[in-house]
Amino acid sequence: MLDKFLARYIESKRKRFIMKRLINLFPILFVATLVAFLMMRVGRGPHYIARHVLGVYATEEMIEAFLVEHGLHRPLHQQYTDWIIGLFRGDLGTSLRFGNPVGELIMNRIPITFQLMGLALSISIILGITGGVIGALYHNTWVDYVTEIQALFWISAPSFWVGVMFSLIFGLRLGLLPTSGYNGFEYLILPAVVLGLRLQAIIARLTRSSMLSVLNKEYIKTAKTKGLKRRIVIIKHGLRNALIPVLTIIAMRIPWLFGGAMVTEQVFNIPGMGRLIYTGAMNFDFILVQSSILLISMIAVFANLTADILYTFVDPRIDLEETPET
Amino acid sequence: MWNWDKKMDNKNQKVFVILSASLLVLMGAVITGCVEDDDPDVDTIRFGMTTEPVDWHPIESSEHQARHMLANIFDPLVHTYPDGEANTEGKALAEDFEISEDGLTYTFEIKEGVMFHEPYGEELTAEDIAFTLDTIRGGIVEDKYDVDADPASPVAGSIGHIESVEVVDDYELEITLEERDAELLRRPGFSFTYVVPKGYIVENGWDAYEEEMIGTGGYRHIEYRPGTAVELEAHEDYHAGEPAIDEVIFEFYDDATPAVSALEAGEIHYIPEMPPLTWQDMQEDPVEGVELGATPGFGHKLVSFNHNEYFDDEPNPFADARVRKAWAYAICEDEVRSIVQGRELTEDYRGFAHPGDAYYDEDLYQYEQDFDKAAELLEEAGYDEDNPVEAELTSIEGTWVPEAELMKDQVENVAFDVEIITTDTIVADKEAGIVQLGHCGWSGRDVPTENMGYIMADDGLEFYGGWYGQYAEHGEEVTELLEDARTVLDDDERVEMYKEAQRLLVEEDMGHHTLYTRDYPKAYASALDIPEESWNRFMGVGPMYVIYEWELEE
Repeated sequence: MLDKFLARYIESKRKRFIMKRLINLFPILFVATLVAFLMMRVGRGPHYIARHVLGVYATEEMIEAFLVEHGLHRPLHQQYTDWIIGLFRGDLGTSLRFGNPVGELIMNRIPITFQLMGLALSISIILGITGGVIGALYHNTWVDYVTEIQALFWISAPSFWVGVMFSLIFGLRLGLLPTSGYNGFEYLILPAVVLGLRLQAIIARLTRSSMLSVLNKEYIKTAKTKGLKRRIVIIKHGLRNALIPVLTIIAMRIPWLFGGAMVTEQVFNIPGMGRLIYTGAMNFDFILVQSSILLISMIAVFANLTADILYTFVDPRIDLEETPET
Repeated sequence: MWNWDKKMDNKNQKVFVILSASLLVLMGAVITGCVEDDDPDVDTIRFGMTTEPVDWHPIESSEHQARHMLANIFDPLVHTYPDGEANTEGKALAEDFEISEDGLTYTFEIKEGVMFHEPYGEELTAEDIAFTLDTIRGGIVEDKYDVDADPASPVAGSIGHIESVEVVDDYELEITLEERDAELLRRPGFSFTYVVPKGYIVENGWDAYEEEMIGTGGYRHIEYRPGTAVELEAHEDYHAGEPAIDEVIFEFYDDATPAVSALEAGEIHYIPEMPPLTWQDMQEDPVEGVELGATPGFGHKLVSFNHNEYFDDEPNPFADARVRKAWAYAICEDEVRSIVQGRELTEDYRGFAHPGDAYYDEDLYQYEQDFDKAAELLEEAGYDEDNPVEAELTSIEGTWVPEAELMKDQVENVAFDVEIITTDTIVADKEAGIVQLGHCGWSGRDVPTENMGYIMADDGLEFYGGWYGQYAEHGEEVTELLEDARTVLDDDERVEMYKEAQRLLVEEDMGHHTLYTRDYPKAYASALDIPEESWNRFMGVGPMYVIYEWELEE
């Protein structure tokens, strides 16, 4: 009876917490739309953008027609309102660089970026958790030092440099994998490894310290003295508890992974969202860039929300009235 | 204390090493197992395109990069080599042609059995060519053929002297000119004409056509993935013979570095626009399996002088030919070329002609560096070290600036005092009249009348709002000479007239100071068998104009 009451109480608190977090999303997304909108417009004026897009031989009449066609002759607040209304209608506008609907371009590119991120995430979780657990179990041995040094190396090395090196070594010299481009899943392996190595380093370090802390807890000692098998003690009692902060960090790192994918896509010439935004930015395609940036912001915001919610399920001790420390 | 924190015993160490090694081997096996080779029965060549065309509409696009692809999907009516010779070999759609004695009527016999790509799949007739030429001329097709739009061609003006295009029968076409134009077949409107299917466009409209891009060329358009790739497939019924290579993929790279790595690794086969420095490095240190080549460039670099009598409300010294000549005498072109990225790709460019052009004049006066002559001319014009020519040299932001700085150093040996200004909108700045000396490029590789006319004669007035034309001392004479030359059918006589026009512009007026032209550097896999003669024709596009003639060796 008391159990049921407590469960209902926690559930209602969780619902309130989730609702509160959802309501908080609106101001965040509003700011995100504003930043995405202004980002491409504050640097150069519409006239400059028109000339850049139309080329050096464009006449004043062509430029005027361009400004009218894309609504750039209107005041900024009206342009912003038009864009937001378009977003609600599902119309993200037409890319200035490619001449295709932005929604179509994003839909073509985002699966590739998701594949890359998914593969990188899998690699980082497998290597990171394994490395972290091994480092903790063999604390202060050469194995621990190796896992720690490799983690420090991948955290410190710039990803574009790692990307170029991997492409040269594994692609060009050893010929194991394609150096660049995208013509199938195998083209994603090398970039995913590059992208995943840094995250695995972060996960490994966190898993190691979390595991070390858990392994010294009283309940682990109790489990051991009860005569439980080593494997059960490590996995069921140790790792399960040690993974709580790790899971949160992984969820929090998804937007970061998106940013990393942008650099990696550029180095490996993968036609994902990163290259799309890069091409858009280099060509003053503000319509393409603003919608893409907004999309990434939304992914970041929802990843954070997911991390917060996940946290409440993984660790019921969390005070749902407070925002968890992530 | 947790006793598993203790150092590993030997047994644990062995287990750890074995497990780690197994994991690595397993991962390696999975990774390499994922790599699938292309279908060995299909010959595919991949191009690493370092620039993606913004527009590759066969009529509207003016982009050089678009031609790499369009030249394989479409065929021209005739070929025209840079030396002016027109012919009907290979992919040309005309079997033969005749020019009437008065030079006003061109009659083309069209090849039979030329098939358009699927899904249209009909035979090409003279109607399609007439429709294409009418579309290029502009303002005609929407009403005449009842289609939904009248695309604007960048080369419309280039064939502006055409009075009418008449279809005699399915395989005969007659073009009548308003006035004689000895250069007609050399004009870009002809040499890069992409013949489109009238029947398909009239029935489905231009928008639907752009999705399909149906032509008669050696390769059929399959798919365009913006920012990623264009895929073409061999046209089995190609009139010039079935292409040996089944599939052609143009992959777009934002940066040349991964493209070069991909070429070295054998993942792509051809890079049409190599970074000059990388090209030079590869020439000094050859890479196994990679060959290098270059094709003639379209344009040239120059310093153009503002000839207006006033600049910035002050008398403009460069309105005086003596000052312009002094500038030319103060410059050492070889030294300027020595700091260019990819020095070996630069070529001499005299007057308005590339060494491959028929009207290139080896004897054209050259302004060799001579500070004494420069000082003498400046003194005659009223300038000396105490009263130097104050000049603003506007250059383009980035790699151009070192060249401008070198020129500044050179000319300041005599009575010039130069300030360098950088911009990324030099054409607009020139149009706005805020440039005194423009360090810029001229991309025109048109017929001489257009090339010289635009730059120096009366047409220049319209284009640059008073920059050239009447302000050049021999502007009117040159204009007259060029207009007359256009109507002279005798090749030798016409070439002599062009040479005389160049002499006036360069030797007498020093209208602008030409620096050099640069070839397009290319790199390709040794496995590609590319016809040798294709390197010297079809400016810039070079061998890619005839991919159907290529072969891929094992």
